[in-house]
Amino acid sequence: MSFLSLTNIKKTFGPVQVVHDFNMVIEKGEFVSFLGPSGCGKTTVLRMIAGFETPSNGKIVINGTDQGTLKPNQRNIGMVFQAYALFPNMNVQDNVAFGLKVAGASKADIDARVKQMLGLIKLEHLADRFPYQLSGGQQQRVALARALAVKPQVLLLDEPLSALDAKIRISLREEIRQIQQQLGITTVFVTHDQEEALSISDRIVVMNAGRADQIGTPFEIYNTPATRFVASFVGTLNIIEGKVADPAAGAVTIGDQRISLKDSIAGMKGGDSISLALRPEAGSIAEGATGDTTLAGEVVSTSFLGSVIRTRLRVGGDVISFDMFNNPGVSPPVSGDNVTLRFAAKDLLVIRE
Amino acid sequence: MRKIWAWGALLFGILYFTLPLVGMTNFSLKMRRGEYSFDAYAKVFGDPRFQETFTYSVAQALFTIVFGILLVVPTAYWVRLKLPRLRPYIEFVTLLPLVIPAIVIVFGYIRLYNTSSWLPLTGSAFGTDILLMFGYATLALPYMYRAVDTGLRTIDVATLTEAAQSREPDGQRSWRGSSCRTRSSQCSPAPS
Amino acid sequence: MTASVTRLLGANGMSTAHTGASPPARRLPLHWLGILPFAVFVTLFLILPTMKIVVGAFQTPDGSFTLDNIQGLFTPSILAAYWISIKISIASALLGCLIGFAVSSAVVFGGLPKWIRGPLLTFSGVASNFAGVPLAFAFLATLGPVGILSVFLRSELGVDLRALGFNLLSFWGLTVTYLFFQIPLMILIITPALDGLKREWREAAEILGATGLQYWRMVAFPILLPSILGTLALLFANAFGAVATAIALTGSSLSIVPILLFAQIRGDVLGNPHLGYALAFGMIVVTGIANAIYIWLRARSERWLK
Repeated sequence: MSFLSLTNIKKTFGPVQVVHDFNMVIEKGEFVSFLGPSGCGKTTVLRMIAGFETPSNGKIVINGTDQGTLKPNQRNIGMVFQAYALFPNMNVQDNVAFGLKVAGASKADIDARVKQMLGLIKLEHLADRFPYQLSGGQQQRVALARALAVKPQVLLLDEPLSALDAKIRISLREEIRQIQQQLGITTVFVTHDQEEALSISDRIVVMNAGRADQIGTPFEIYNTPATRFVASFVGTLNIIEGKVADPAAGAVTIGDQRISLKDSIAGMKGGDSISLALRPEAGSIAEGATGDTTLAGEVVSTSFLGSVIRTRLRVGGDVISFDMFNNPGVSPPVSGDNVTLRFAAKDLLVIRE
Repeated sequence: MRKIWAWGALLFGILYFTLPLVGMTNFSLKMRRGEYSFDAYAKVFGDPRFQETFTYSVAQALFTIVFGILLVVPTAYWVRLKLPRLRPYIEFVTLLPLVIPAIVIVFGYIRLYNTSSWLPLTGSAFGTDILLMFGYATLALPYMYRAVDTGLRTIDVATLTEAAQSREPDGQRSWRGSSCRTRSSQCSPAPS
Repeated sequence: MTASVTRLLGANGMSTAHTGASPPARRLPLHWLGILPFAVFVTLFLILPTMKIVVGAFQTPDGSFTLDNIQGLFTPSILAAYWISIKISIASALLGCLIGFAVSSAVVFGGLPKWIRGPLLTFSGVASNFAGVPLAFAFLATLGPVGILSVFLRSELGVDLRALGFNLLSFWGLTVTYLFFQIPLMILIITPALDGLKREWREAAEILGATGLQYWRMVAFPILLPSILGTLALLFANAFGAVATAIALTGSSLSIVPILLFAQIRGDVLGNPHLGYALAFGMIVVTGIANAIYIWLRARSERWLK
């Protein structure tokens, strides 16, 4: 059953169309991420759900109610902003209580709810602090508690982690996901960080230039990207340029090497250029690696990343990278080595625009 | 709705501020009975006494600005660089002219620097000019010091000075550099 | 007098010594020299003149201590002068704050065209220094008996300001005139403060269900309060000390303290030269109290500031 639906949403600012025909249906309790580079329209869509922007066209329905003419303060939505938007003149307690206070809740109800919320974010001991006395991570947790205190139908998170440092970012995103699942609240999360989106979402919308390129689970988005943009934006992707040799047999040449594809390339002509994509973890140059396809290449460089060793290879005209687990018994290849890259033909994707 | 209210507020402001100026201009053009003319202006600009007082005012203003800059900029620089703990006290002192009414300070000058005192500034025309300039500088102190100090804060004097001293040991260069940058924050006019 | 000045200078010197305590003691004099010109200037032309007045208020002409001068202030005519000065200052400060705030927030939040802002701030910078004879003349030419607005209202709308009891040389006349520099001063100070209100605060309040009014009452106004209080105190002192405009406008027909003091400076109108000191001292006390109230209110209103 759809809980939050966006139908034919368009938005233009003056002559610029920032959102083109956006369609999406979100289930109750789902955690959906809008992922894309800055300026792709993801924040604009979020702000339209919140009511800060009005769609130029289309309809937003939450729980059966058309949000068309509703003002932000009539929508019962919780929102966490990128820059900690805590009210600086109120302590933690009053910040969390704000939404309940303006709704006219009784003091006893407010106190009980605030206590419960501070328990949820584990900051009961900081109830009397002012925002300037809190770290960035603490401020965002208070902002989350403030948004959740009013029991919103939908929770919107506008890049809430991007101003924090790396360690806090990871622990807080896990905390957000855990709280979201605990409360079962429908959540839309906007981010430009693909790792963040992959790690906590039920579904991801990859946005590019005002359009949703692909909507799917993190597994689908990563493993079967629908467009070249999705493939390159999510994860690291090696693009290998080749030429079609025999469309019927699925054969292509990369430089002077000939391989067969599992993806169908029927309909292309011999001699056509073709772009192929391979994830860094899909191939291996290690001894005893398995795979039905091989490509010869020359090592350009290796970087030791701890548990993983990333090797850059020249194959045909392109330089592509591959990861393999560190094996203390085997020293990594050095630049200039000639190696054989082994992978499964089904992992080599044909990129169509 | 919000826009109507905003335009209303702005319109009120514009009316309030232009009407007296219009009224004044209107009067100044009515020297001849019943018709508009520039007679009043011609008369004023032709009057040597006006030219004299006008030049005097301009000169006073210029001297005040120069004196104020020479007094405030090195002090603010020095306090930021070497005596940061004095900053609150200096700031407090520079804000005093906002608290003590100007007429009171002037009254103090007249009693303190009259002809029979140890520094009889009011005794000669030159002395009076100097006293007037000092008076203006005092009144401008809150604005000047704050403007310069804010300017210095944004350019991070300490770092710049260290950077410059690593090449020129006497710190002269940083002084030149930061005074250039501070120039733009020197906008306070002399109250004349 | 010298005792207190020495004490003041001593305190100054002590804090310098304190600052210089951490680096080697030998470098101390050099550091101190850097602010010497400033210290000398401020002592001679700000602190000494003020001390002279404070001390003089408690001295007889031959130099001995007395409270007679202060007592002399408590005569009906001088008290009345203080009272009307304070009333005009409070009225023009409050109205200046209110109107300046309205104009400034109209420009910052009202969705007016962006280009209005620059000219408004430039104009405010000029107008806040517009005082004295030109200002008085401008208002006489507008609201005086034959001023353009008075004439227009009388001939076109049949409203006779004078018959309604309005007189430029009165409490309201002076207040309206003072507003000409009070409003721009408020605009100059409050506009940056309004800019400092983050859009996210408004949006966070809104999405939490607050109305525009609730946002202003519970978030924006408390955040702005320290700036507003500071401006009020400044506007009060500004109006309280405004002498040139008052004299140019009213001559000596309105007895307010700055005019009284000015008259005392020109010639001894009070019959006792040291009563002038007391009069000036009283002005310092009034603005001092205004600032003390401000500091007290501010301390209460900005617990949340760093």
